[in-house]
Amino acid sequence: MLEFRNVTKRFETPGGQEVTVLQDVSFTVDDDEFCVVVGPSGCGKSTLLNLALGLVPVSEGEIIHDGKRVESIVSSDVGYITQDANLLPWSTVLENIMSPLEIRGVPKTERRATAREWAEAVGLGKFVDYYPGQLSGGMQKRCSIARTMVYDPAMIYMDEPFGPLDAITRTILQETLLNLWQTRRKTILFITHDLVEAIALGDTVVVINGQPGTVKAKIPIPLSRPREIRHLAASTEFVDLHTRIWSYLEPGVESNAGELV
Amino acid sequence: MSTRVEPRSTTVALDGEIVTPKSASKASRDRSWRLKVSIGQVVAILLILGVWQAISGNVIPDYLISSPTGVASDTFHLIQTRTMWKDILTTSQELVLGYAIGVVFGVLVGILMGSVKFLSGVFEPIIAGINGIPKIALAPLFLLWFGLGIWSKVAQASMIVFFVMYYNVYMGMLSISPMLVKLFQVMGANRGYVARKVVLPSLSVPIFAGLKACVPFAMIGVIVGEFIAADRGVGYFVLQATQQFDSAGLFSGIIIMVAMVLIGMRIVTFCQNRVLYWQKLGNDR
Repeated sequence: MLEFRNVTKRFETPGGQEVTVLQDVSFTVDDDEFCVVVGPSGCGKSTLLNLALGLVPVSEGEIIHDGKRVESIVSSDVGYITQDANLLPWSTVLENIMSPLEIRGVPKTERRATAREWAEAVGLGKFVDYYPGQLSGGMQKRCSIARTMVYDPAMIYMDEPFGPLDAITRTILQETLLNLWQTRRKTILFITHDLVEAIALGDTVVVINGQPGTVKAKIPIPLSRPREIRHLAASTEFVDLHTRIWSYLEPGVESNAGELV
Repeated sequence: MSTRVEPRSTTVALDGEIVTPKSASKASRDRSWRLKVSIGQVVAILLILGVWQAISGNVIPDYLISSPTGVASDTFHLIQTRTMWKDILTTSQELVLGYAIGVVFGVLVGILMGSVKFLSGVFEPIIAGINGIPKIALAPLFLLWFGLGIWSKVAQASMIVFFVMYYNVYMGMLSISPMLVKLFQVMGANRGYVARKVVLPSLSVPIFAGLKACVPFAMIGVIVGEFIAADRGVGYFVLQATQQFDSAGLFSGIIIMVAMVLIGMRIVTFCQNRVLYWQKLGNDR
């Protein structure tokens, strides 16, 4: 379980001014929950993830991960999937997927076999000996998902993982992710600026908006699972949710635009 | 130019993307292009040599510029003499030692400065200051410190190589993706693993850039050292030839130096192709 308790984050700008990025953020992610944080760019949602991972310290409040306060880099039993695939360009797909197992001291033959299974599971079975430079963006992303799933972390943090992909690839990968999650339940904290993606994937959607970013709403998504993402947008349930969540995003979007001018 | 569409055998891969294997026609076009370039190079070189041969002795006196035929026959005779090979051996020793010492220290100091912020804060300006010295001006000092033998030349070469290597590696350290490092930390990797699997491979690119740049630099250091004071070596030979107005010998010496540098570069390139194989992949996409 992951809990944000009154978390505030301030940064100092190079000019020496203090900027508050997140203000008094509180919400809880339950075990095996797929929680999606949605908000416009600049609302501090990526910062939220960096705080939860212990990559940057909180200014006020606290984050409790599995009953322990997050104070340094969280590296036990968590996975992290970033916007860029961040693969090792000098290692093959298989070697990349194997690396977390290598870190965990899994014997060589076993880690080879496990990595191969996961390469198959994400559809890279034929590409295990390819180098990242030879793969498309979507395939690189598949590889980074396999690299995270391979060591079976209880919790996965995802920071706009499908952001840079084209719409078709994105939908296919969202379905792949949901299928994997369906068979192997995990706690997921997923960051996105795409409301459709948020509703399609999440059990709950946390809306963060404004500058500084604050939690505007936490909305359960009652859509039944398994979901077929490509047909989801047509359902009335979906449209209702979309309209409802949009209302929390709208004022912030306007004020953002106003500040930019 | 024809705009004919080449027949391609395509396969549709994951994500609906189309993977096209490098077609045979592209390979043959590559080959004919390379042939054209090679012919062009040969013609250009022949032209230069032709002009040189033509003006030698007619426009400019032979003792100033010699001539291609003179240099060729001189070089041919020289490399059959025992003394020339002794000179080559001496210069090679100085070159290899100076290069190796400069590279090792450059890499080590670069990594150290790149990983310990305090050290770089203290020493970066000092190193930059020392680098400001025209290093050739130190040759007399090295002579004083290390004597007439090979070590004053080794010191001169390694001094020059060190700075090139150091800056390449230091900048390489600063350009390592912090995101990649953080990702591996979250994955549970300790410092040793990150160093071996992320930092060192990331550095291989700037290191090889430095290794290549340093071969001719090392040669400069060695030859300057031999010019200042030596009793053997290719630089010493060239200086002797100059003093005897033996321009053919001088050019021959230079040709031998160039050959040595090119051999050094080939060795580095050979290693680079083995280590950085992953870099060339994906360029066809």
